[in-house]
Amino acid sequence: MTGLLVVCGLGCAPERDATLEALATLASCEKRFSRLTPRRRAWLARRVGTVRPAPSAAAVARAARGARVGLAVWGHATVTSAFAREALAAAEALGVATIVVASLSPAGRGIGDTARPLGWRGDEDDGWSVVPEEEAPRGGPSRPTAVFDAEAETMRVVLPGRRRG
Amino acid sequence: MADPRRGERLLQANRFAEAEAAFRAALGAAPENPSLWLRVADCAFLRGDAAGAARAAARAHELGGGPDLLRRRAQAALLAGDEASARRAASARGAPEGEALFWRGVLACRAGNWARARRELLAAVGADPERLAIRAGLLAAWAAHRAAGTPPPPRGRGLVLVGLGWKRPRQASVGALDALASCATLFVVANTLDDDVRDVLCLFRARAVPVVFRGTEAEAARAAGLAVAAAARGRAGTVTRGNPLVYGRFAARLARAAAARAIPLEVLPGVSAFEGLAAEARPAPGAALGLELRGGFSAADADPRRPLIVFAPSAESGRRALAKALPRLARGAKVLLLTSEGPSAASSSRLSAARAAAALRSSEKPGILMLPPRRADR
Repeated sequence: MTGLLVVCGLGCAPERDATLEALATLASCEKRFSRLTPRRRAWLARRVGTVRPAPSAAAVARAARGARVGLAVWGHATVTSAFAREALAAAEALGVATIVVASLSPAGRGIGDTARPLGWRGDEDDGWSVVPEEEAPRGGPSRPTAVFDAEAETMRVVLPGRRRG
Repeated sequence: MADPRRGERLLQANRFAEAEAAFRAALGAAPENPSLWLRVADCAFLRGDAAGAARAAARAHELGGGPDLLRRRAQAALLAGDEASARRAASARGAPEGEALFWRGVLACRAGNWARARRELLAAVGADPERLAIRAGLLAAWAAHRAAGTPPPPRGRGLVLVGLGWKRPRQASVGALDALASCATLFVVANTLDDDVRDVLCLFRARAVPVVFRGTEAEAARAAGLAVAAAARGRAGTVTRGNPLVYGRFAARLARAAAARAIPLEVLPGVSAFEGLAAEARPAPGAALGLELRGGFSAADADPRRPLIVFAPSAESGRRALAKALPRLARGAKVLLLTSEGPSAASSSRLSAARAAAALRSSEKPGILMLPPRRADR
């Protein structure tokens, strides 16, 4: 029997940013795992069913035994989550099929939060960087930068010329 | 015989009243054609006659039957605020079971009966999984979220900018739908309206108002003026695709107009195309966490360790941006190129570095190119 590992990002504030697709997908899984904070795990469990706190290896092992397993992560699975990447690599090594469900990233949330009067326009000499807290730019960055801490489940936006919490 | 293609051309040009007249003229020769009645319904809704749209969609359903026409009939009735008609259509003898359950679930959502809504929607999935597993499953997830308890909605005036996601509505956030539920009026950009977006609008009792933005500047100003005036009286929402502020000229105009009148503004973005693609871009082993989003002109100096997503407004500038990014491929970096032209955001393809270089030389629109690291770099 072939299992499946479904990795779902829940955005920077899951209680606001979680997508319908992520919740529906997690609800359809036989087992769910997460390293979200207990408060957020409880929020999620009320919507999709039991969510177990476990290392990624446990989720992958369960999928390798044939289950459809959901892994809920903070932020965006492939952009901000070392936990998700670890699980995806382990699943690939075991030949377990994987699906990644897209979510709002710190950049998407930052672009929304800053509500720049002209919007974000890719046709200008412009852009966003998304970096972990330990790589946050010293001083003012040259471009808007979303700084995330996946362990603390927080993100902040640093704009050129000023800081923003 | 009147030619319905003339109606299609007028509809594309946002000349809704003339388009409706053209479709009605075509009905003179084929009065029992459900497709023409649906077109009349589309035009009537877009010119602001929701009740007329409901009558035309009901006629289409009477003539054609089946789940798709039941869907359009129920949507048109609810967008006209006529819950009784929608309920009758969903409860009629012979109504397709799955579709009927879906609409009973939607009606329960409108009434705030979340437990019942979830039950009906999950039953709809079971009755017709092929058609309804995603449609009803998504709304069941929202009903489960609401049933689990949400904070009380904000009061007073305000403007809410909502994006329903790249693959709408599955990538809409629960916060976005919660915000729409608190609005008295919902403005939806005409070219965003499709069956899936109509399903979402039907979840709410708020008045849905289509607005045109792709037309003239005068139309754009009028649309923004309508939304901001409604937001000055109470909470108003606008519904667009993706993230409203990524390539979001309408949202940007609204944000400026709201700021000018000191109207509180809230932005609830959906998943944008770059985030959808980033989910597909499995990072190369050892790659750094994070992401670089760059306009085409600034692609060359991005952090080489991270996945790079380049936005370009046209195929030509996309090719130039890709030329700047190509040297990065030798280091195994991922480069995703998004252009805002045509249907590019609806599909993606995986290309090798060699094929990317070929695409660069070709006149083909690049659209979205997803470039995995070369095998030798893995």
